[in-house]
Amino acid sequence: MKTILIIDDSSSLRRIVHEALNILQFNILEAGNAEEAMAVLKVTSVDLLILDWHMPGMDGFDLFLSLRDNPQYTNIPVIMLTAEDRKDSMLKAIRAGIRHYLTKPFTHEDLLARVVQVLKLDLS
Amino acid sequence: MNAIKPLSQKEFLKIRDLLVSVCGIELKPDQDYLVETRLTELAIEIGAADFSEFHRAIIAEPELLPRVVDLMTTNETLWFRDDSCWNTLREVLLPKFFKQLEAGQPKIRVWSAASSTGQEGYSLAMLIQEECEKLAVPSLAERFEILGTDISTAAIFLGRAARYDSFTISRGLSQERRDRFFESQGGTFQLKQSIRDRVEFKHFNLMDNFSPLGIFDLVFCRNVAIYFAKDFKEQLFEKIAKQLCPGGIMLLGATESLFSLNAPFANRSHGNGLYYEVIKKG
Ligand SMILES: C[S@@+](CC[C@H](N)C(=O)[O-])C[C@H]1O[C@@H](n2cnc3c(N)ncnc32)[C@H](O)[C@@H]1O
Repeated sequence: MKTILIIDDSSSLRRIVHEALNILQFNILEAGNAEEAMAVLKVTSVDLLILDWHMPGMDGFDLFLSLRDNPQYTNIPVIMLTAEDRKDSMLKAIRAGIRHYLTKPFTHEDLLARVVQVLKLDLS
Repeated sequence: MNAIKPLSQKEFLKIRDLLVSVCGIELKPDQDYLVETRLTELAIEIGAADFSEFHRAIIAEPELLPRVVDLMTTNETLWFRDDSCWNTLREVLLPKFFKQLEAGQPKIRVWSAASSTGQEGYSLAMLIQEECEKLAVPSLAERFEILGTDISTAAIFLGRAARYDSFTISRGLSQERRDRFFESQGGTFQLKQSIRDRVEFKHFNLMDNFSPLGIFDLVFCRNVAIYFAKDFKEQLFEKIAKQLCPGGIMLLGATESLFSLNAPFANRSHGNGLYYEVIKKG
């Protein structure tokens, strides 16, 4: 079973994403900030991160950069799920290597379709 | 890290021209960021070093086009989207189809042409079930054949699974229908098999030839033509008209119309709802 880590400082947002992902069979973990996320990543092998940008402490973008530059984590795919919808920010994220960018408010159809594609679930 | 060179203005214009000519998708001059934010993943996956290479790759490999279209469009959908459409179905179209079935037509074929994650086709299957029961002709429900197609393989997969979370289930679906047609399983809602079986899903691109799909009595083409340029819309409606039987009906989204388009349909209305009857030549 694939493991997905949701990183967002809003517990209600984590719950919404968690519920949306629950319709497929995943092992779903949550972290409320970058430090918690790092603690999870140290002990668990994760297949996908769903990452918010603006969080207290280290933000999601900086967390992405530090994971990207760490050979142990560099290959974990990331879906950035954020209210940050300014053109410049989106381009900054994509140019830094974030492949999948969804803006809040998001539809569950779009989030799930992305997750299915990124994890290359067997679609047959 | 795999990376791709930022999109230049020249590359944007080339990709914009290509998207409109081969996929019918129209981008505004300030939507350069959309190309970069949505298509970078595919460009990197196919090994393009920059967007000029990506542009050449999609010309050389047309099988990439459905992926491009999928990435550029949204899958948003709801249950019983737009009340007026479902009132028209309940009050005008289903009674007409029931009469046809009672008069001996073996089945009614319906196509949800951009079905996304299934809500449109399943809403229809639920409504048919309810109306057949109301009229005490439950066996007629089995004589409707509903096909849902979409360019997104992920959406088709989710449509077939027919399992929805509590937020998605609440978008347009009454508590009564939820209780009746779904089984609650650990906070998710699984559509009952009897309704699931009424809808078949297939991956299909609306840019392809429609003949293999056969002839339909009713086509839902809702909230998908909004992405297409005028020529593409006209071609799409022309192709749909060919797949409709005489008297066949097309339904559009509430914000859509055939206004200013050259399309072989006659406008019909019922209450606030519009529907479109095909005009067959000769
Ligand atoms: C906004 S949703 C509409 C869903 C539903 N018909 C409704 O009205 O709620 C648009 C859908 O059209 C699909 N789509 C876009 N271009 C397409 C194409 N060329 N062929 C088939 N489906 C397409 C998308 O994948 C998406 O699921």
